[in-house]
Amino acid sequence: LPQGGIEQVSASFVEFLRLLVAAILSAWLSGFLVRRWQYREDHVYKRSDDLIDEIATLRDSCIDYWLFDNPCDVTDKDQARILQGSIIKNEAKIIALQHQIAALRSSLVEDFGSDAMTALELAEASLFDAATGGEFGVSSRPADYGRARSVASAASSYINSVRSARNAHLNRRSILFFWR
Amino acid sequence: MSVKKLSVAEQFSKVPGARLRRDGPNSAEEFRSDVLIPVLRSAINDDAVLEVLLDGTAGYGSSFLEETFGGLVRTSIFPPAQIRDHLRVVANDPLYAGYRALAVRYLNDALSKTAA
Repeated sequence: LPQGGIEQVSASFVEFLRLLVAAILSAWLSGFLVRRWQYREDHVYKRSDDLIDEIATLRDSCIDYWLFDNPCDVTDKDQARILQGSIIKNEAKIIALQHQIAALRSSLVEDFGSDAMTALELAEASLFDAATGGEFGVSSRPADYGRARSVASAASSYINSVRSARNAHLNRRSILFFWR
Repeated sequence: MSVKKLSVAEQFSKVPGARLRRDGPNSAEEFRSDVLIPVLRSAINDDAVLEVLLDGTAGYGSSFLEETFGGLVRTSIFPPAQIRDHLRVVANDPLYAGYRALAVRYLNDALSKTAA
């Protein structure tokens, strides 16, 4: 090949290598970004699912708690002690569940918008009001069917709020991802 | 107005209890009578705002919050206007935002009932 021909082939080869490296880097970067985005979305999905599960567990525990009489007229001392111990254990469990729900909700602060978080906080307040308000923790009380119903209703509202916030978040993120 | 702070976890208990003294230790009645009312009185005398910080406890029963803040209004020790001007409920950690919303709701409900 003449001198100019060799230089031309070398330049084309270098150009080809540059394009190849750019293509590999672009593919790697796109894959990385998609995986990162997918991981983040899966994480939000998992945490909001965990939140919904905990709300359902709190609802069930509270319904059991409020449908149960807490009588003060048990005459057998051993029976009274066992009964009281079981009630105190349930109360501790319910408070712990509430706190777990608050922790899961607060872990979503950075993912959901402030409007969605305010709605979740209010739904959470209503659930907690129904769950541990009124005569919660009182030594002696009758079963409270109305409160059991209120807990079920407030839990459903909270679960719906979590699902709405998650859907809004996922829609927003998908649009932003393709826009960028 | 200067600001005074009252942390439930640090100045009362990390494990707040039930509504009334007879229902067990660390009750709302105990917190309200032995801690909140004296500190709020001192804040009012100093023309300060009292911020009650909810962070740092192992959670609250709603009955504790209702008896503390709703009960504070019902005791009629302080006029509603003084409570409005001198008491704030604060949660710096987002974990406690739901408890804060609930405490504010109980306080406002009791204040509106007093006004009516």
